[in-house]
Amino acid sequence: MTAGLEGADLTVRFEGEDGPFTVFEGLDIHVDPGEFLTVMGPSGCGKTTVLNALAGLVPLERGTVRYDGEAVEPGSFSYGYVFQEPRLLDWRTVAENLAFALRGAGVPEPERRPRIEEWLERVGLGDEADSYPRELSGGMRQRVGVARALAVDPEVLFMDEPFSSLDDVTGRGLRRDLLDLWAETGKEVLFVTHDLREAVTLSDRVLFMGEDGAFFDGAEIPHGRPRDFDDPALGETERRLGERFFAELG
Amino acid sequence: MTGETGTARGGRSTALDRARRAAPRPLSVASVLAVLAAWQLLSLAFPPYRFPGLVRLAENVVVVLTGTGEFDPLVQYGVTLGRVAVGFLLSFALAAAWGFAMGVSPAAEDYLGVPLFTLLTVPSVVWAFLGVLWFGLTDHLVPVFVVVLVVFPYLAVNLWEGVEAVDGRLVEMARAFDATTVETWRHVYLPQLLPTLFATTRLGLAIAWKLSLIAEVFGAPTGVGVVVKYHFENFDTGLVIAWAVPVMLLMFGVEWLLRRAERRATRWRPAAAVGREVAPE
Repeated sequence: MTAGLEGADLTVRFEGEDGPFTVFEGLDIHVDPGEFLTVMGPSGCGKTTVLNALAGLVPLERGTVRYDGEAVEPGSFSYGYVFQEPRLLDWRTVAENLAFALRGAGVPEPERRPRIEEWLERVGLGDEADSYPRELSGGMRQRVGVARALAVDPEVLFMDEPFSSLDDVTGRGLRRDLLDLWAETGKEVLFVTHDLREAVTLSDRVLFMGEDGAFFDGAEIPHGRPRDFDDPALGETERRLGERFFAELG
Repeated sequence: MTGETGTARGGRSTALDRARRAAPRPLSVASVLAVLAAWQLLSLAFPPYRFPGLVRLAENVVVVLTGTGEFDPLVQYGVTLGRVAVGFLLSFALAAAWGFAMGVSPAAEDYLGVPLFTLLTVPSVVWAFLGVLWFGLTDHLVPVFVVVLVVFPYLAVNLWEGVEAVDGRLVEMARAFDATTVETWRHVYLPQLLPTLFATTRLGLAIAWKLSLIAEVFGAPTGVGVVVKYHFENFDTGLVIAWAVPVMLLMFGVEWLLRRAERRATRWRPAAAVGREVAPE
């Protein structure tokens, strides 16, 4: 009996052009309560599919998902999802985009408006409730995506390379804010990235996934919090892990 | 305060846009005038019963509309437009069910795809003859039958492609946030389908109107098709054209209204709305 989110023996196969294609087989993953876990790996290795399998967005051929020790259907626990692209409804205002998620989460009508205002305030978009997504910058749109995921008050937060399409300055600001929000809310975060620096900066622990869809290594990130992004010790950890990680990948 | 000025500015600019859009564009006016002039010139080379000039044509249109000819315009236009409307609505409903099913379900795509493409290849004249052979000379059945069987496959293909083009990543987002099917259709599918729905409506009305006349020529006792055929048999070129002109103008107006409605419904697209209108300044 372990608390937190656990996936055991996870197996996903897709129907490809030339027969079934195995993304990963017999994969085990475990996120401790309140832990920030990052899955790191090269493009196309299947790390996004790990999130989607746990979230119930792609069917599992085999495997079990447990939440706080109970076997559950994939995705039936409460989670928020921040995608690589903002994935907003461009034809709805920012507030309506959040309301869409809140209705899905079964939040009663009178509670929606205050919650939307609270979360937009917390991601620094207090004045943009009535704006349309296309009127916002890329960084602001991704902030809406983060607000939408957190507004449903999830137990688990899935994040799929959420900052990879942003410029360095914008990405840095969002990472800072994400760590602050995470520290306040204490959610489990399962984060996916191909950027080692980002993984080291944000996570409690990193799992390395190879081209074959298996975890071949993992490491605790021993640095205390709050972290200073420019701390040379983080750079040192990144270098040390990089040697291990990239040696394995070849 | 900023909110107020923002609204005022927004209001003024949309009013300006609207005025600019409502005013006829110089090139469009020029093209209409060029066609009319060419028509008039061509007509001088032929006897009026073969190719009537503009004045003669205008007189014929007046005869048609005032009901001073052999046929009552209210009855004939009424019956034809009624068939167009019923045929179009049935086609659209059938096409929506067919096309949406194909768009969301791969199994339905396999099952319904081949019949659809087969229907697309059947010539409309064949449907018209089959309609008469099967149902005889009926008041409305044959024209509506022909319109539906010819029009609905086009619309179904359009709608199917529209659904296929819906951004699957947004559908996945809706699933991740536990949106119900109704919510997903309302907020994810329909807004993305709006341009397709408008385009399909315009296409459907345009073909339904043309098909309806053809079907009437073959298999109906009344309607604009029958009247046109009658004037054709009397070599009355002017009246053949004159009977079509009012409906052409009506269709033109409907098309224009639909485009305006579409622009209004897709206001959220700042790139489309702002970029196109402002760029030429």
